[in-house]
Amino acid sequence: MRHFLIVLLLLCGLAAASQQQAINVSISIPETTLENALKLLQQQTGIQISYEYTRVRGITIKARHYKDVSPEIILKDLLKGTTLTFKRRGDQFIIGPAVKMDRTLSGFVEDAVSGERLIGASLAVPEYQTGTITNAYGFYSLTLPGDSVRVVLSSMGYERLDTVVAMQQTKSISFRLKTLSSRLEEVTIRGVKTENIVTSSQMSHINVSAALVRATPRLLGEADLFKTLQLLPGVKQGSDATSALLVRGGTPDQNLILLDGAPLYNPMHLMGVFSTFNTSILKDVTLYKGAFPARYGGRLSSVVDISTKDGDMHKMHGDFSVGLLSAQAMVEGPIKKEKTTFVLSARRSYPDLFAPIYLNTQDDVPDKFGLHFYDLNAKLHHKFSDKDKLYVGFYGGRDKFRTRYKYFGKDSQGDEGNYYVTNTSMQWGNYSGTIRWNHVYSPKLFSNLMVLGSDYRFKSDFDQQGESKGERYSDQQKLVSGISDYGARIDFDYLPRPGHVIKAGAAYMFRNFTPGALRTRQTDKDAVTVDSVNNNHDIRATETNLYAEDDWNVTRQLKINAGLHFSAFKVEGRNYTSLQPRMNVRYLLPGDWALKASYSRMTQYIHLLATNSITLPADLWVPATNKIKPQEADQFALGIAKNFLGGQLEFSAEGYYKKMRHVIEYKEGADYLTSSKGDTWQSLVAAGEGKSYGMELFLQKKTGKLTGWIGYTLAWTYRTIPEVNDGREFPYKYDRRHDLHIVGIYQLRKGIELSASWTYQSASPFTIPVSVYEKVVEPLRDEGWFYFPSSQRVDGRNNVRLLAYHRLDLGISFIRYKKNGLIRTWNVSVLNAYNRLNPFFYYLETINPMEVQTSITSVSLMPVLPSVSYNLKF
Amino acid sequence: MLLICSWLIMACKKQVPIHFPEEASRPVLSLLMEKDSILVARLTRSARAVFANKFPQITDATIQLYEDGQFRENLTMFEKYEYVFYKSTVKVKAGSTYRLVAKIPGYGDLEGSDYIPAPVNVGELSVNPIPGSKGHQSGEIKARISVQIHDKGGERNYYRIRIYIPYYYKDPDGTLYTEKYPTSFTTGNPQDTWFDAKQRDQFFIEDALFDGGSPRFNLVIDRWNKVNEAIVEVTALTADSYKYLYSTAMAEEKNDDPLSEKVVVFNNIKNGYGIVGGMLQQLYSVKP
Repeated sequence: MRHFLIVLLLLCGLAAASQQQAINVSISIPETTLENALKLLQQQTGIQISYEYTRVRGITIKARHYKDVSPEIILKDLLKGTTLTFKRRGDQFIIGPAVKMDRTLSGFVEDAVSGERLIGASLAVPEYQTGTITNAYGFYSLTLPGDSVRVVLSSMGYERLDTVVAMQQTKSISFRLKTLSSRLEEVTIRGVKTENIVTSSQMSHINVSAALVRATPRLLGEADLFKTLQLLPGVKQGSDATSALLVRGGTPDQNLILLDGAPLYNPMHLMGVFSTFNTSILKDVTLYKGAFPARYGGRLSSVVDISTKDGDMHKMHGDFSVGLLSAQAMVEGPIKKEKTTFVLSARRSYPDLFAPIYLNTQDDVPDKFGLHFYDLNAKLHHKFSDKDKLYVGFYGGRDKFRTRYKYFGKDSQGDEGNYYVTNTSMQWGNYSGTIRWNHVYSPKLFSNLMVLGSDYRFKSDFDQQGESKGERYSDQQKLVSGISDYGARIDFDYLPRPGHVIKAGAAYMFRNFTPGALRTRQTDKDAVTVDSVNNNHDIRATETNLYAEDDWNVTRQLKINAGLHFSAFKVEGRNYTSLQPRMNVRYLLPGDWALKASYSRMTQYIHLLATNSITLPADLWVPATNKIKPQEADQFALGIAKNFLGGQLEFSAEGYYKKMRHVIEYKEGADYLTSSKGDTWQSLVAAGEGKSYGMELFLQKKTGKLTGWIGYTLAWTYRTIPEVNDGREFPYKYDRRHDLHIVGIYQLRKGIELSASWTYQSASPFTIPVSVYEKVVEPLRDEGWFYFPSSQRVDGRNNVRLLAYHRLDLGISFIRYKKNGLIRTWNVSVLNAYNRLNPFFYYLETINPMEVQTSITSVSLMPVLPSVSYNLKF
Repeated sequence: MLLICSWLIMACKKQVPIHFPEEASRPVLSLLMEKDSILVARLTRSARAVFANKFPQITDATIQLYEDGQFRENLTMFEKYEYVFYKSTVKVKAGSTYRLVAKIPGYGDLEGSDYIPAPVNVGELSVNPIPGSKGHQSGEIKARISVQIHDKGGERNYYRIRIYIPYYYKDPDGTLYTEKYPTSFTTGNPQDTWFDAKQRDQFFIEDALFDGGSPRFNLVIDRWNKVNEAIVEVTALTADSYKYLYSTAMAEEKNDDPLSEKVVVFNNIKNGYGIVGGMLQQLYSVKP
């Protein structure tokens, strides 16, 4: 009604405006309400005054007398001391609230119990229909008019907090949210702290919580982050049981894996069976499949941004778990309460403990044998003040394999002292370290300065040494390949007002590539006969990145995240530069359907030379060089998103098209053993184009006793490379047309949690030969016996598709909350519950030349596979 | 744990019907040439099969031989043990380039060419049995065979090493015969040592890592026995014959590896498949 009155008054005012003249008036106003005074002024002067009744209600004024003064002076005097002001439009006066001074509320949002900073917590301000979310360090900033404001805080898994806060320009205010589970004594939340899918302009991204990773069925009792990510739409798993991520037609090297900001390369154990992340220290994981914000760069297909825990501010606790493959332990707590915390975790596998049982049945047994992997995470967090915090993080992970054979004895002449020893060792893994300094310059400006180092290395060492007839000899072959990054990065978050979040930053990295350095050292009779290093010298490069982005609420309906990312890569005297525009747009349709569109260009200055369909540790990381250009991709996406059932259900649908340039593959028939063949690798690869497109549907339930999701992907991915497949387009690895994942986690009752995931993937392509032909392996002679083996003729890469893949995994967790505060969990998982013989590979045994239809042998790797694991939290 | 490991190891198989893609048969010209020998070539067709030891033979073709660009002769067809061959009377000389042109009625010409490489400058050769080690069979032990090659610098050279165990026997009239049997060995090549020492029948080497150097290759056989002798074959290869032989060996090794891309065998025959490749083999007897 009041709006109607306002409109009516406005219309009346407009109608009369042209007829009114500016005049001076004389009037006496008794002590009365402001409303009465305004009415009196209108009646006696004939001027039109518009106002909202609720704003003038309750305001009284003292008696006034005016003589031959303008209406402006009278109104100014009447409104003096109130929060109201007026504007003149023609002859009409409109009374409204005076413009308040903007004040900024800023600080951090944290877990009430542990003090852990909450990422992506929402702060809504209903009065102004605006809000913000916390950044990666839990920082927020709200700039609003007024002295106080009502803020509603929410974060998935935490109680909602609705409070009125005084706006004090200089003081930082931290909010502490209580976990829902501590109140309900049941974990019913499997969602993640994330911005509302409808309000956010960001698309093509998914958050995954550590709780979710731990809840999904486990392979050999190991909760695995990447295996959980593989259950999301747009992500394909590659070979059965591996943890490789193939995102929207990309390759594993096109994923930027960031652990607390430091890049990791090949973060896998056991040749890709498990990823390297200890789930007990995970805090937040965000997967971007496209629509990359400008702050990310350097990879074409995805970003997996992993944040680890900072450590409990108030008390010590941790956990310990044992599975069939490995054991892990984590402890966290304060070194100085409210000031300094630490997190320490370690994991080690123990297949080598069981290996002797098998090895002792063999004839030729090594006298030393080792096969294991380990991870170590350490983090220190110190709070200097509300404005300054320091984080020091370290990660180390290695896979190690070693055998040693030793032989002693007399030679044929009966001489003693003869021996022969051969050592074989392999190891690979990542080390990374970061030092981060958070600083709040002002309530609106936050920065994070990071110094980081990351090193991935593959080492292989083979040596043989011995003594024969009193003469010693040795032969050592040492191969090292890897990549090292060292550099610094600074990021700024500037929040001038709720409608804008501006991020900008810069990074400078030194990169050192070692694409397979082989050292050969040989001695004979104690004299060095060979000592050489191959010509695969280290390649040094520098990479510079600059970015700026603005997340801008243009109107309630329209939200834009626009940014630019600039990068420059200097290698071998060549300077590559790339300007990469990024754009995310969300438009709110009627019914709160969010229509989203995005475009992003990405440039990648590194390549992975892989001979296999999975990433192996020996694959070579090589830079763009003078001859090999950087990879580039343009990706477009269009989608819709909506919340249902009060936000319990999230639905999104996205279509995408990605065009990739300068992606490399080995040329047909190239010598694959490049790591020990010098710097010839550049001549063995060919560059071409790739494209992928498809559609993804995602329906997720984040709260309640039943949580989980249904994800469906329809996808195509191809490559066209001049010197591969005769230059013809071919479907790329794991180009599966359909993927369906149904994941459910059900809280049966307190202490019992059920989980299940079902995966369906249509057949992936593979290559089979179409014909065979005679080959010769010796010069032929016109006498003697002859033998002609055959060579297989391959007419096209990935020329056949056969069986679809589907699998049901089940899990059950028995959780017991003990009186002494311990939480004990037994997890039993059964993978491939109905023992589907999914093809791992195919081979052709025989073929009847007369028949078109024949049969091929499919070999499965993973039958029904039960496992059990135990976890104790304290 | 053992139960699970055995589950994993025990791969499950099943037969899947497939509409097999088909490619029309194409002519295949195969010739590996050796210094001071006549040329003996095969001309066959590819077949729709997985494994075959007998391919359709082309018997109505004419194969022309060119030496350093000059026509020398048409090869003569002959048949032995049901196999059809084409041979020259010309003996191959080191340093010359030989080109074959096969004219097949109703089909275009096939053509391929190569040359004979220079001999390998083989350095020190030795064999050292490894006392206390266990060989392939009872009574056999391992032995380390060391082969040194003096590489000619400034050019790309390609080599192949194979090892044989000789067996000597006399027939009833007292004539001594020698037969050599190929034996497999492990190499010091880094990739061959990963996880388990790979047994190879032949070891391909290119001099990218040691151009002009004199590397020593330590190869370990596990069939050392009373014979007390090994025969080392060192072969110089041209780039084409190296690529062909190496890719056929790689295809044999990798095409059954489910995680590897299928290897496309190199061929240098225009309008068909196969090889015209040159090589030079040298044999050495080594004893402790």
